[in-house]
Amino acid sequence: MSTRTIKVDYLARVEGEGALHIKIKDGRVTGVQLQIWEPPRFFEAFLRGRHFTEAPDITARICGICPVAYQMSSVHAMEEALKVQVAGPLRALRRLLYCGEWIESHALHLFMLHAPDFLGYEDSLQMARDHPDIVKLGLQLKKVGNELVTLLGGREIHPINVRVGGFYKVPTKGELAPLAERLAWARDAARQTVAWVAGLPFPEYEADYEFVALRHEEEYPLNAGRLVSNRGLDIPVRDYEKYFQEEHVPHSHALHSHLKTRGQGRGSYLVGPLARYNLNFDRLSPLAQEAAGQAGLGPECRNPFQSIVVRAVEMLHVVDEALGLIAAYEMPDAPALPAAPRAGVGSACTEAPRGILYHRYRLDEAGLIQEAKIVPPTSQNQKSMESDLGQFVAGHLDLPQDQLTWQCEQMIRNYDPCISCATHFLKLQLDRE
Amino acid sequence: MDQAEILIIGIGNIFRGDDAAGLAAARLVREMRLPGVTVLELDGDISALLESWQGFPKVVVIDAVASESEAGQVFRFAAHAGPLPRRLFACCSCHSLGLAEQIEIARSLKQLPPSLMVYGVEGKDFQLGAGLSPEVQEALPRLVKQMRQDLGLA
Repeated sequence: MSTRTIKVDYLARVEGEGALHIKIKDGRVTGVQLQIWEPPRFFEAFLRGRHFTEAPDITARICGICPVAYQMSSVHAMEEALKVQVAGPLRALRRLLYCGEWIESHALHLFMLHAPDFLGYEDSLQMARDHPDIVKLGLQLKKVGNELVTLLGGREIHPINVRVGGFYKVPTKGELAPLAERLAWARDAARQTVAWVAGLPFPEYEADYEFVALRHEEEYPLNAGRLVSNRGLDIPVRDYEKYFQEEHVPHSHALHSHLKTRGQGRGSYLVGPLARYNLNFDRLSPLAQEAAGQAGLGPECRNPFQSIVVRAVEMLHVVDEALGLIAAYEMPDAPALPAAPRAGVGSACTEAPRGILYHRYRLDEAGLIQEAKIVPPTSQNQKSMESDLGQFVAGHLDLPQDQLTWQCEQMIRNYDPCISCATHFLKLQLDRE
Repeated sequence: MDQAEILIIGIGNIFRGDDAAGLAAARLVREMRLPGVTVLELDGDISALLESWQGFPKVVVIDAVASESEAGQVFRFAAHAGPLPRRLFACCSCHSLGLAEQIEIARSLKQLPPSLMVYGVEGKDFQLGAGLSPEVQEALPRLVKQMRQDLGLA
C-alpha cells in the first residue's frame, strides 16, 4: 500500500492566504481540500445599519485588486432597490472604469503571477531577469489600467468617485483624450500579448464544466445581463439565490457555492474568464475574436491552463472597447441621477475580473441597510477548483512529486483566486499512501 | 519651480494595523514641508512604484517590516547597492508582490533610481482594522530624524 501527499503549505502568487492538501491512496485520489484561512471579515454584518450611499465605498475595501467590481455590484443593486436607472454617458463611464480594472487585474495576473508558472520560474523576479521586455510590457499595460481607474475612480486603488446614481465628478472629453493615446498603444501591446501567451506550453487537461456568466443582448459581459450557463440556466439576476446556495465546509473559512438544482453532491460551476469566453464568444469585438483565432482558440475552450490566453483576449477586448467608449463620450449634464431613500430590495451581479460578484441589499424607508449579502467569485469557484485538482492529479500520478505539486499550484492560479475576497490567505499538501 | 530632487515614498495599507507605518511616516515628512522634497503615499502596487521614481536621483521608501524583531525597531538599507532581505519585506498584506521583490524586478529592468534608501519599521500587529501600535508610533519620529540626517536635511 502506498500513500502520497501533495502539500503546499503556503500558496504563493495568489491574493490572500491559504493551503492545499491532496491525499492519494493506492493510486487513487482520496481527498482534495483547498483550505482558506484568511480570517472572516464580516463585511455583510457591519454593512447593516449603514446608509445606502456608503455601500460602494465600504465594499470597495473588501479587495485591493477588484474594488471597482465591488463598487459596481453595490451601486447596481442599490439602484435596483431605489428604482434608479443609469443610462447613457454615465453608464458608459462606469463601463470604462470597469475596463480599467480588468486591464489592471488581467495584466497583473497574466504577466506577474501566472506566466512564471509556464516558463518554469519560481516568481516574476526570476522571469524579469530573463525576459525583461515581457515584464516591462506587462507593467506598462497594467499602468494604462491604473490611469483609467485613477481618472474615473479618483485614485488608483480603492476608487472613491463612484456613487449610487452615477459619479461624484465626471471627466470632460478633453480629460479623456490623453487616455485614448495610451489605449491605442495598449491595443497593440494586448495583441502582442495574445500572440505571446498562445505560444506557452499548456498541460493537457480538459474538464466538463458548467460555465456560469452574465449574458447581455449586445455587450461582452461586464455590468449587466442575465445569468446563463451551458446547461440551460437562463435567469434574471434577482433569482440568483433561488438557484445558487452557499454552504460552510469545515476546512475553509470561505463559503462554498453550488447550483441547488443539480442534485446532492453536485452543482459545482465555473465563473470567470473561461466561462465568459465560452458563453459570450460572439460578443467579443471582431479584433479580439480575430486574435483568439490566430492564437488557436476556437469559440470553445475547456482547458483551464489556457485561461491565460483567454485573459489576454479579454484584455484586448476591453482595451478596444475602452477606445470606443472614449470616442463616443459626451459629457453628461449632471454627474449623477438623484437617488432618494425608499424601502426595497435590490440585487446585482457584475463580472469581476475573476467572475461574477453578487450583491443583494434590503433597505428600510430611511435608506438604511437592513440586510446585505455578498457572494464573491472565488467562493463560487472553490468546488470546481477542488474537483479540477482531483481530476488533474488522478490523470498525472506518474509525474514526480515536485512537478505534480508545481502543476497543482499552477492549476490554482488558473482561477486567479482572490482569497481575501472569498473569506468572509494558501499551502499545498499531496499525501500518497 | 525647481524639480524636486528627493522623493520620499511611504508604502502601506491604512486599514491593516502597523502595515500603515510607511504611510504615517510619509505624512510626518509632508508636514515638515522640506525644500526639494516630494512626498508620495502608495499602497504597494508595483507599476505605480516603478513609475513614481522615474527622474528622481534620490529616492527613499519607507515600509513596515515583519521579521519577528522587536516592535518599533528601525532598519535601513541601501537598496541601490544590493537586494533587501526578502524575509523582512515579504508580502504581508494584500500586496501581491513584496517590496524586496518589486525592487529586484526594477533592478532587472534597469529602472532603479541612482540612490534608493529603504527604511523599515518592525510592526507588531497587522490585523485588519487595527491602528498603529504604540511601539510603531513611538519609532516613527526616530526613523524620520535618522532619514533627515542621512539625506543632509536635518
